[in-house]
Amino acid sequence: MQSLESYKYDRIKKHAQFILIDMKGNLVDSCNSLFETREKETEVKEWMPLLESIVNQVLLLEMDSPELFLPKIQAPMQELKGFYDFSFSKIEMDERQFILWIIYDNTKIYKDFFSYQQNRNELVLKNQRIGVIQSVLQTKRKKLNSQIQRLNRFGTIKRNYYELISSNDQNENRNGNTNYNSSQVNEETTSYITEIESTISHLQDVVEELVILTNVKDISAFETKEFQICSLLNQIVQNLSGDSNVDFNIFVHSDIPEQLIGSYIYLKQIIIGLMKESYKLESNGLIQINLNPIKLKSSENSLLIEFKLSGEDSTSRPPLSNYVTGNGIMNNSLLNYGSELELKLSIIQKFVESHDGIFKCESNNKYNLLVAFSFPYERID
Amino acid sequence: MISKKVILTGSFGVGKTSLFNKFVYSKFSDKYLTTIGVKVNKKVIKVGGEEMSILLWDIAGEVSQDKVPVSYFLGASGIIYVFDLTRAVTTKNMKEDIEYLRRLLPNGVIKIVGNKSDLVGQDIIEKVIAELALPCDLVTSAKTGENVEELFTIIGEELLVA
Ligand SMILES: Nc1nc2c(ncn2[C@@H]2O[C@H](COP(=O)(O)OP(=O)(O)OP(=O)(O)O)[C@@H](O)[C@H]2O)c(=O)[nH]1
Ligand SMILES: [Mg+2]
Repeated sequence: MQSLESYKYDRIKKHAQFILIDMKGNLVDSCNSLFETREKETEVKEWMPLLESIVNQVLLLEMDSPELFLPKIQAPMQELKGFYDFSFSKIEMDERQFILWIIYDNTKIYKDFFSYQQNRNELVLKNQRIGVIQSVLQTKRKKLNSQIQRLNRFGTIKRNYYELISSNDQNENRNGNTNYNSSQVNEETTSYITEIESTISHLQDVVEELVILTNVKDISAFETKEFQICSLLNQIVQNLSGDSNVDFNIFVHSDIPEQLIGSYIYLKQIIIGLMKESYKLESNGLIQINLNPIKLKSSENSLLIEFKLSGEDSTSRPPLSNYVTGNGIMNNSLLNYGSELELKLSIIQKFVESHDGIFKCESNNKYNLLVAFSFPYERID
Repeated sequence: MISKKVILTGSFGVGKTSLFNKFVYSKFSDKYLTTIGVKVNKKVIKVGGEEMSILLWDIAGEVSQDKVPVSYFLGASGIIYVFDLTRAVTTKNMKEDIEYLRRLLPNGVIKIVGNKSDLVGQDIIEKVIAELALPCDLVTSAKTGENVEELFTIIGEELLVA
């Protein structure tokens, strides 16, 4: 049987290289277990940038200095592509002083360590990032709400403002003059306009943040998990319906699996957003939700979620805007997001399109509404 | 030619390796591959009409700097302390970290850098910087390259007179 001593010796030799350097930084000797030194420059600092940056300090080591140990060095030179620990110490041999440089090859150990650290860091990173963006969004949302509330309090001024505009339109029709008469623009109107402007710019901020959010790929909103799509829909309907008279009808195509893997939170947010808006538009009538398979290049399995409002209860509300009836064609001007519905729809549109999905929204009589968007998923096999 | 050792340090995932790769290889990747220990490379830059070789040490991120092996700091002339503008936690230990690094390198040049500026708006950058324990020297993006060359030029110039 091999002695433990020789076993140890063999192992060390295999996984370590001993190099002797003179006090000028030149190679004296090497046991070439890891790489060949014969063809190398005499000055060891030429071998790798790491040595170049510390060789002066290494040469200052004293006989009684503790060993200088540099752990976990990644790919320090062409011939060493893994992970190594370096040790430097001053030694005496035949009454001459040298630096003994030992390179330990710990590639295997550090590779395992890498997988551990990679998983740990990725997870932490993901959670921290969504935290910051969410907190920023939250402050923005609060500011937006207070601005909207202030806007609503400007009721009379708003009426005056519209009167002003319409009288101005008439003037304009008469003499083609587009400038407002300065005396007509009173202080209150100016402050109303200012308020609108700041609300709009704030809305723009919120939308931009959301776009950033959609671009930050690995965040938990897009994390996929296994869930039942029908029970998700039913659960949202039940939670939101309260004492409304609206009927919901959910149709799921038989090709769509009950249990699937997809971005659960992302879908849930879109559906809740749409449902909340539907209740505002429809106090009676029917909301139909259809889930059908759809073929898309961007993912192997996708479904098309359709949201249909009958528009029966239309007398009590104004008609939908051009944004909605114009098939959701994005116009970059935020002035077109006349209502929260439009803002929400355009956010959903950006969400979906930034993930290479499709989005559609239309109304053929300005009261009924169809919103459709694709949702990629994976099958459970 | 003058050569100077400069260390990239800070918490993990802040973009040290990305700044390293952008500076040395003009490359950027969205994929995150954590650094184990240290990786060293060099690049020659021009400062004040002279050539200077920057020996750049990209080290594994640690939540607190006293966890970094002290031997890594041997012979260093400059330190770039990087934090992530999108993650407030990466600035939490800034004061203690910088005090610690100062003690290790009393005469070294230390720069505080907020990275990933491309991910956040100006308002967030301002908010984050205003809340820092110490002033931020530069805001960078390893992705777009914003202020990356500038960062090393500034350090190079200071190292030249230091
Ligand atoms: N958008 C953007 N992403 C960045 C930027 N810098 C780094 N990243 C990303 O952030 C993640 C972490 O970047 P790394 O450079 O590996 O971070 P590190 O500080 O070296 O991390 P450790 O080695 O674990 O300490 C990667 O996914 C990078 O693509 C930047 O300026 N902008
Ligand atoms: Mg790294």
